[in-house]
Amino acid sequence: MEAKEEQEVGEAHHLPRIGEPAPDFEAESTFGTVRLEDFRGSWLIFFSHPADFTPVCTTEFAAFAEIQDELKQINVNLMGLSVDSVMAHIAWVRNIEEKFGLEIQFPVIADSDRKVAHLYGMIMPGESKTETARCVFVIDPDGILRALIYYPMTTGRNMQELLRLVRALQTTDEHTVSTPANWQPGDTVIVPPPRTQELAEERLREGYDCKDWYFCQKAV
Amino acid sequence: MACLPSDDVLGSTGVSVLLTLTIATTLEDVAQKTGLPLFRVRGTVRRLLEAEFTHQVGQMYEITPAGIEKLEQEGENPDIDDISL
Repeated sequence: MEAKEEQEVGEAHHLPRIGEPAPDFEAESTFGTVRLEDFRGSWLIFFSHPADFTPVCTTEFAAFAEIQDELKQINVNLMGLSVDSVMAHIAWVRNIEEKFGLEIQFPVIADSDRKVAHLYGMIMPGESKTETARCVFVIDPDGILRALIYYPMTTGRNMQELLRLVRALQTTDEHTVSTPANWQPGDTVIVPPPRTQELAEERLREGYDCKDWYFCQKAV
Repeated sequence: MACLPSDDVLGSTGVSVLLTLTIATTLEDVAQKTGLPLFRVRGTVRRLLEAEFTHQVGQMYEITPAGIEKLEQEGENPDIDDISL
């Protein structure tokens, strides 16, 4: 990348990190000014999309609208972002309601100056220097970033995976466990492996379902 | 890039939040009374504070005389007998 180009995209290469506080911001949205701190006490799925009034993005917003009630039941909020203006956002969500019969009940940030986009590394210059990619940030009630997913502009995201991811993280926090590949709510979970020889020896006598001392599962 | 300044209409959310603040109330109680998500209450109360329609009393928030006047301008009738101003 040319030096001038790199300077222009600058912070685009800095991704927030899992396990660290999600970067704070204040931004204009379809619900007025929002701050990340407004969401403390609840989980947040903060996602970006490339552009309003485009087909893949519209399918995603419709899909988010279909899970928003389920997310509320498990204390999860949604917030979207693109670089389009708040007027464009308002027109688009009204269009979605009219054409698809779905009400968008979450705020959508109008990040016209790309401040938040750069803070969160949402711009992928190889795809577009101006529009945000399809990014998802899962932020916990303490404001810590717990997971991030990046999808290309061409590929709509899977809402069931986002639901599964949040439920897995909530299960981890509630029971101090990990979740295995393809875990679904109700499946057994992974017991944290022992970290000393003594505990490894004792593990096999603790009543878990174990393949070996490091690989044990249980129901929650 | 607005060609006109925004008006200062409260909107139904602002009105419903302000109406709950006729008695000093916490944000969590406002959320419970209005059915609004807490993040929305926080943002709305912040705007009401900036407009001086409410003021903070410890961990609680309460409507100001300017807030009462605003509600009346918007056709709402807060029960001022309950207001501890």
